[in-house]
Amino acid sequence: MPERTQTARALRRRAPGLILITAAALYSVVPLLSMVSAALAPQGTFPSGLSWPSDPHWHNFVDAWNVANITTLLKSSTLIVLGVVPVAVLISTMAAYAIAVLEIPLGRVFYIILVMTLTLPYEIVIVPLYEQTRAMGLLGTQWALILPLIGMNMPFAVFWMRAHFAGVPKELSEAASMDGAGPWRALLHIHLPLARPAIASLSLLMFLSTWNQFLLALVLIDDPDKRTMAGALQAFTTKYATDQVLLNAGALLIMAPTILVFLFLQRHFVKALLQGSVKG
Amino acid sequence: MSSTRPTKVGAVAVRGRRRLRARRWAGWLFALPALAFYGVFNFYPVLLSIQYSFYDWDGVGASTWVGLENYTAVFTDSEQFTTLLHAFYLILFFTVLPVTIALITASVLRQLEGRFTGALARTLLFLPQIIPGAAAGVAWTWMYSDNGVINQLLRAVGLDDVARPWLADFTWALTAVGFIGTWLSTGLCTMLLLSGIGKIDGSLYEAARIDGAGPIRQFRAVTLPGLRNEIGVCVTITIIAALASFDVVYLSTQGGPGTQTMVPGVAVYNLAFNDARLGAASALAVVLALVVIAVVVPLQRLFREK
Amino acid sequence: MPKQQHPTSPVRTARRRPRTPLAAVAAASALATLAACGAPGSDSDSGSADATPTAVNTAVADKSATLTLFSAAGLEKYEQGLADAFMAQYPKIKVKLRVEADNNYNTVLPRLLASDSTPDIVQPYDLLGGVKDNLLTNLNAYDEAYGWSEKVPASALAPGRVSDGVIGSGPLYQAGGSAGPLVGVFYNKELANKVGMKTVPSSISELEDVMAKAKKSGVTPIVASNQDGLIGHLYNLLLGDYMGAQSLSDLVHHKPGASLDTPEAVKATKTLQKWIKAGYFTSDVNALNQEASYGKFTGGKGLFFFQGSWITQTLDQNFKGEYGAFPMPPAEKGGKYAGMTSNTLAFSIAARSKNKDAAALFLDFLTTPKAAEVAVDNGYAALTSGASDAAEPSLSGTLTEQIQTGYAAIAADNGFDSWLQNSAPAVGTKLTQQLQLLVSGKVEPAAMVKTLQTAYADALKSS
Repeated sequence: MPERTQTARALRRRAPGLILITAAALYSVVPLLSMVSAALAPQGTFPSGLSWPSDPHWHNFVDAWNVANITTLLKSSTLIVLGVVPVAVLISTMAAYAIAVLEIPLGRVFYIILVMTLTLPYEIVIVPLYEQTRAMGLLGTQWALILPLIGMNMPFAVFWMRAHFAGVPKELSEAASMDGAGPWRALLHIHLPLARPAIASLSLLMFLSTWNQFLLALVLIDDPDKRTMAGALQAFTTKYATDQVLLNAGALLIMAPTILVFLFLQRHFVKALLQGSVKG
Repeated sequence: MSSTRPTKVGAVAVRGRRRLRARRWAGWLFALPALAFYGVFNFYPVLLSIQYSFYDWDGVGASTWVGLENYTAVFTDSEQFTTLLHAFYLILFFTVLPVTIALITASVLRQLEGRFTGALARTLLFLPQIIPGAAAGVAWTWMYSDNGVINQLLRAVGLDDVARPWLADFTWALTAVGFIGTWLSTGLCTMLLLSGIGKIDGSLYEAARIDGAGPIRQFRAVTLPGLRNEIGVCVTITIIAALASFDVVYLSTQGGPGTQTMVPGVAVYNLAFNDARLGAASALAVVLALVVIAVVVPLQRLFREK
Repeated sequence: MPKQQHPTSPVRTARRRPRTPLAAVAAASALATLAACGAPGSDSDSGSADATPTAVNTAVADKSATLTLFSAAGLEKYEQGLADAFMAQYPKIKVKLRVEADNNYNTVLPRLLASDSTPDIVQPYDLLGGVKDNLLTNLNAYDEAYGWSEKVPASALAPGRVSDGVIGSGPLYQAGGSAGPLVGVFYNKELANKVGMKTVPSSISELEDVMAKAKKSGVTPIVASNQDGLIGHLYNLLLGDYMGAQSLSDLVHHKPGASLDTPEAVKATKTLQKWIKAGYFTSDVNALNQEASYGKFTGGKGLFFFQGSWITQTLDQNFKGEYGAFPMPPAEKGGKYAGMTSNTLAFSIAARSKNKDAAALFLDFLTTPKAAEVAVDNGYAALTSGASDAAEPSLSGTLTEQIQTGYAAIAADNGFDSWLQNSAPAVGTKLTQQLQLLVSGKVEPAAMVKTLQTAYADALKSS
């Protein structure tokens, strides 16, 4: 039967690749599965690595939800993301527009300085940021995280949006100014609609980095309940390590929102992440 | 993209250009908010860090100018200096290993026609990239613990002697932390290289095959050069992640046992916020930033597309 | 494909343009900033805070005020109890707790004290640093007004006095009544029965006998956590035993001439090393934090737990009645008891507090029997006047009684000392690392003591 040999041959040819990709996918997911299995064991026990409990205690997640204060944390993280992302996207788009389309004088210098700081690790700013936010009386409030994060996002965001504007044909803006449209109207009516995909990807990337922000949250907000979800993890792990089961359940809950958002917006995420890294 | 486009002839153009110039300055109104946020919360703190690094300061009381003392300490205090060595060791696991794995996966998968990565595989590969690094620290602390998956596997195949609490093990802790980094970067690198390999012109492989090149020669002659840019991207991102690592180490070992897994990021945090030595912390942070730049800039040149 | 869509990569752009403007701008602004700003810390306005009030008011019970008490999570239940008892007595004054994770408390405290949102009432571990930076209120005027020096034993107030960077005498910065945790040996009753521990070990060698027996019968002798360096509790107990409580206290209090580099300290370190080598700890102790060790102890994974009274808050939730406590046995039979304690009824008032008078009323409340009662209910021991004729430590009796007798036994021997890491923050960091090295067999006792002494001397020099 020629058909069967053909499929067999194709399968054999595909096998190494399929095995590889399956192995890689398993490797990605095993640590999380191990957490799930531990999270379902009875509280107060010492579960081991990866074993499906015969009697899964789903209620552990409810307990962990309350113990880890997830409701408060969700609110706090959402507040921080809402404070950072729209403002950062807006002002970086405007700045990139000014640099790339309006070609403001010294815009290039500004841009190069931004790009130079793109690779700087956060470590270099945490100490001064702490002192600054303290001097401004913001320390311990969500503002202490929101304002610096907007600033810290500028290099990447402006870089990203400038790359987009640089790709827009010049004729377009020229046509706009011929029509007598001021720079505001040109931005609003001509450039923004075109920039929508770039802005969407940028927003996703910024959502992710803000939501997952750990170091700055740890340093700038003393009250774990006012931190990002990731920032609260540290307080959570030390407070509830008493019980391996609850610890895993709580940590999973803390990861859940990004995973859910990822699953829903998967296509966009993958595109944004791939583009984001190629550019960054 | 600079101002080399053709201009109209005559005086109209000159006047127009002058008006244009004024309008261009007005364009700064668009850039001002970004400039303000960037200046106050990014650029200025970097300068402040440099300033702090010349002082001995506990963050609350008065400070004393100490010149370069904090910098000499970074290089003479073996504890601070080894954090930099640890960071470079982590590059093996954050960068070399993931890029190698990704290259192998990508080139094996290339031979399968079409878009082979199913949605499921793609989703799973990306998961480590999505969750907070801090959460990865928690997940792997559990993987490595005495009764975690790693030891469970080892014991299952009869390697009971090898099983150990990995993060507490003096010899293996840093390597164990490194593998967390491998986990974090492999998925992204694989996807990046896969998307890159899809862009290589298939006829190049065809030509190589006609020349009698085997899979290995094809890989060296076609795949590697074709992926130059993507490899550069992977290497750059992951090296920065390795050198400036904080989240993962802080949540898995906090730098212990002893100082076996102490990396510059955690050391900066400890110096500043536990030991109240803000000057020393700033000096280490500045050195770290310089190291990152010194490594990344040449890499960019190396991998730049011709 | 992104690259084709956006043909400008940062590096290429950077290369096409001359670098000079950037370098010039950066350098110029850097210089300008450095020149324009004074040294860091020079603008701190600690002068505005009245760190040494003289005109104080004790008639504040009827004035409504809200006090913030900065609490560590491990003490939350106890301190909430104190706050509730206080509010029951003074309904006009509200006491709110602000809770921080245990391992962040010390880190956050100095910065909080220096901020505008300072809590009013705190328990500073680094008392010397707090005084040096003008973060704490000099309580002498309140002491005079309320008569604390008459009401409270001098020994309970001495650890709250600071002069010239030394603890023990001079102006009062931390005050209240007197109660403290028993830091000693907590044991699993069931496992103690199993290994046949019938009486309280009365010397280190008797304790070692019990642990050897436990090890032989398959019971892990010691539960501990050392990712956070908390074998330090045991290490400190051994230091107190071998060096003597006074020498250890002198060191922590920065007494001139005090040194850790002594044969006694080396001996204490060697004892700990011996226990590590004998396999009295589990192999993953360097990977565990305090809470994980709570889980191990309540899960029956070991016999002894060298810890302090504060653990009762967590352990009693589901382990009540199943564990007991006794003080660390003296080095030799018949020797003196020693153990760390901290005055859990003594607090400080932030220098920047706006409610100093009300906060002082809270401190005064801490000297009352009511406050002592709350302490005892929460596993702490209150110092009673008849401490010397208290019962001997024993394995019978409730945990509360055991804690009281254990505490009294140490008090009778004048054996209270403090934690080495309280001498300076940097010593704490170093101690954790050295203990982890000791557990891994990577440092020898003599070298470890030398390293710690160097860290201590360096910290003293810079303060």
